[in-house]
Amino acid sequence: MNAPENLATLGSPPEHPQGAGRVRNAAEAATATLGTKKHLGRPGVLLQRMNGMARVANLPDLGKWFRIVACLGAMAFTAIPSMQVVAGVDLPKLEHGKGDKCVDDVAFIRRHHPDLLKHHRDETVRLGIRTTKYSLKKCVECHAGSKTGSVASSKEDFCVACHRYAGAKLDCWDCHATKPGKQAAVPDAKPVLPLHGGSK
Amino acid sequence: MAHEVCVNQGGGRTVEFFALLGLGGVLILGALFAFFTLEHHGHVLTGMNNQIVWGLPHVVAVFLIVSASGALNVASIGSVFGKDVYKKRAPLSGMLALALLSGGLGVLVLDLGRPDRLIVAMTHYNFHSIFAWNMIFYNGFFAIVGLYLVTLMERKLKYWSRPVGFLAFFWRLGLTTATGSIFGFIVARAGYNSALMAPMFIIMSFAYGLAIFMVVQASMYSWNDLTLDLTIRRRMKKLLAVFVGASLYFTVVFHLTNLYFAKQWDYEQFILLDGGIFTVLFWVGQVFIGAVLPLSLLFINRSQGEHLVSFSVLAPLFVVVGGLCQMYVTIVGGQAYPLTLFPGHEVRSSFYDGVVHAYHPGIYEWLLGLGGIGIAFTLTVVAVRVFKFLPQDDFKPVLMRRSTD
Amino acid sequence: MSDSMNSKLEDRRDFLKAGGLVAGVTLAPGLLFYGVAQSRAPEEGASSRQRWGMLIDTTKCGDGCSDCVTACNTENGLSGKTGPQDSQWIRKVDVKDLRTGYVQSLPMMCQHCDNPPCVDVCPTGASMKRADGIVLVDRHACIGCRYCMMACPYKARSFVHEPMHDQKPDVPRGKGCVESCTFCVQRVDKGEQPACVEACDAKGHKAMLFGDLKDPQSAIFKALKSTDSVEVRADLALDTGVRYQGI
Ligand code: SF4
Ligand code: SF4
Repeated sequence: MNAPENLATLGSPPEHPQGAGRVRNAAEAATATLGTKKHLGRPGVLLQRMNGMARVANLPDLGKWFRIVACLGAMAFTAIPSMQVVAGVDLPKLEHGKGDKCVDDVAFIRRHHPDLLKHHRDETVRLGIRTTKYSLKKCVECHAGSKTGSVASSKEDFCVACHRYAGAKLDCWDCHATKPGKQAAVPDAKPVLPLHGGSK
Repeated sequence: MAHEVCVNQGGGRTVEFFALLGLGGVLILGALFAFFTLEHHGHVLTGMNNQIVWGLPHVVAVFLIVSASGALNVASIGSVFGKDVYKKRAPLSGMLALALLSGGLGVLVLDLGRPDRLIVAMTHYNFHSIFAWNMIFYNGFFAIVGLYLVTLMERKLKYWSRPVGFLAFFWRLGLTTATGSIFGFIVARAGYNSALMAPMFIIMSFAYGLAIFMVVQASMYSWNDLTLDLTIRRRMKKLLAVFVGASLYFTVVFHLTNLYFAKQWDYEQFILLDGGIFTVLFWVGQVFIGAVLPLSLLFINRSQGEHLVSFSVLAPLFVVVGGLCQMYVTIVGGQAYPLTLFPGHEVRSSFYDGVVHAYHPGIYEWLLGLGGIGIAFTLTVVAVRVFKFLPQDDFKPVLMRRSTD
Repeated sequence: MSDSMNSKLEDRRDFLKAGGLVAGVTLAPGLLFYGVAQSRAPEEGASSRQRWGMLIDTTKCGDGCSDCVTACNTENGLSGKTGPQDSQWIRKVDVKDLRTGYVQSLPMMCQHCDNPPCVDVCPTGASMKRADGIVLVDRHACIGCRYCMMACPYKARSFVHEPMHDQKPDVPRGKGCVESCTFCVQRVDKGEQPACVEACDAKGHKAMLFGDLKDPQSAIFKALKSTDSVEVRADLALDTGVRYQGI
């Protein structure tokens, strides 16, 4: 019953379209950035035309270097999030959460958890609705790592592992507890299943 | 159009230009360093705390923002009242306004606790909040003044410069009112809760903005080995004197109303008599350096000929220093004085109720504050170099006598 | 998708409301009133039919006792440090009458104003008042401008100056945001009392009374009706949810 359905889909990104949309975007971003190199001429022309208005004409060299540096900078900037993917970092190995299954279809959760959490947080904070199905607190209770007892203390912990891989920055843990509360901290004594990514 | 819009002013002085740029750059880098450090370690590293929540960065920021709207005043006099001397200075005045506003807003943003959420601030407006209104005013200010600059610099749009100038004039009045109201709306604090806050800020903005304008203008002229016409200089000096005098008058009225109508005796006693640094800054900084001294300098009739320092530069510099002191007294002094929870009672607690709060600005606050000035400075230096902002009076450089006043 | 989800939620809420109504009719009102706060279904949000408030009897408040403060720190995961940069959600204030020299001690915290200046000034709408009158900071929207701290007449708010860790799961707190007393909203939503009130009761002082200001059956409603109570800085007309008696 603990079929590795949970994360088996996290294969190499292109073959598993439903495996974390973020990963795919990052990979696309990487190719897109590389692509711009070839078309360097086009923004160049554009800049030249703009140059006619901006009149940095006194320093023609400055204009050229500025253009090159700006392009390189922009490329580096867009490439940062995809570094992990490009560098061929191993796909994250995630621990299986507590319990039999996630609160919803895993593929659905994987794709939509940011929206679900966001929707839930607004309802909770602003309206006082305290359902638990999509609550971050419940995520933490099930997915806290066996070693650290946290979802975000080490690189292997549930949230961090995947988000590091996808290069998506998280600020949830600036404020939210990464460990379940005392009462919930007693583990369920479920076997912890290490799951392997597609790199194996 | 090329040579109309931009002249490489002071052609050969590239080294000096890059030195100035470097100076501004260092200030900006300092602010960025402070920003990233605070972003990582939090505001523990600053002298700001739960009592003094707005510190030195806010003093500089509000000063710059207020002067920004004042700097635009020169352009307004030009297009709204059709004074030719001022019309010639409208582009410089508009550019300065944008540079100062950028500097001020830059500091405000760099000091936020969660600057990464700025996008939230830009997309979620709480229309009850005067602060949110300020953001709208600031953004609009950029757009309108930018448009105004375009109409001034492009021949074909000349026709539009007057209506747009009007719009800019009223917009800036709104902006300064809103900035002043940030404090006026704080009902709870003895030092802020006054309807006079907004008009006082407007009149002060006139003085600070014009002062900065005069300093920048004088620097530009001397950079190009030109001397500004004496009559123009005298005219601006007179105007500055009027604004500084009016600011002083408002300061007096403000404190008198606090004393006699609002019955804020304790607060007034604090600021005027026994507030330590705040009392000193008020009397020495705001009143003497910021008003009395420049006023006397402005009214002195100097003999013709060359003087080492021109009073038309010195006086505005004093006004700027006094302005910063005034902001410090208003913003920090207003917080240092404890809130009144129970009138007629003495309060004490672990949360510093009832005591005058101490504020010791740390290095990061200084870096942030100077960085704001650095942003405004750098933008000005670059803009002045790249575009033709030198007021195009009918000057004859060769014939002009070097004469300071 | 979210639309259908919402409408499902709505249906469920209506159903629960109806259920609550039926229960209210069938049971005697006295029976319904077992706790201070009735617990409500988690699907049901805060409702404007309630307004949470507190009545503090300063004559009962122990001089030198600070159990409410300790309880608050424990419940909400505050360090309890009292440096100028540390957060204090509730504090004991000694109030001395300058003419008579009479000293009283009372707890001071966010007064959960009905016209909260902090909410008025907040540029992003992060400071907000829930339907049931509890004033909160939505940290997801707070940019840390501290304008609300400038505006609050009671100095009720603190800015988090340092990075935080090991927060309570129910009480997220983090660097760069402003925070203040929440009336222990995580407890109130479960039908419990705020931690300070519980601690005060446990100590036997019973100086703090918490409840629904709009419920004629509630103890606080009755107490307010029969005793003279005041708002702190009533001149500001903020209609505070926390009221004091004995000062
Ligand atoms: S007491 Fe202060 S923080 Fe609380 S609601 Fe009133 S103004 Fe806001
Ligand atoms: S600090 Fe946060 S809650 Fe307070 S006014 Fe600013 S954005 Fe609003």
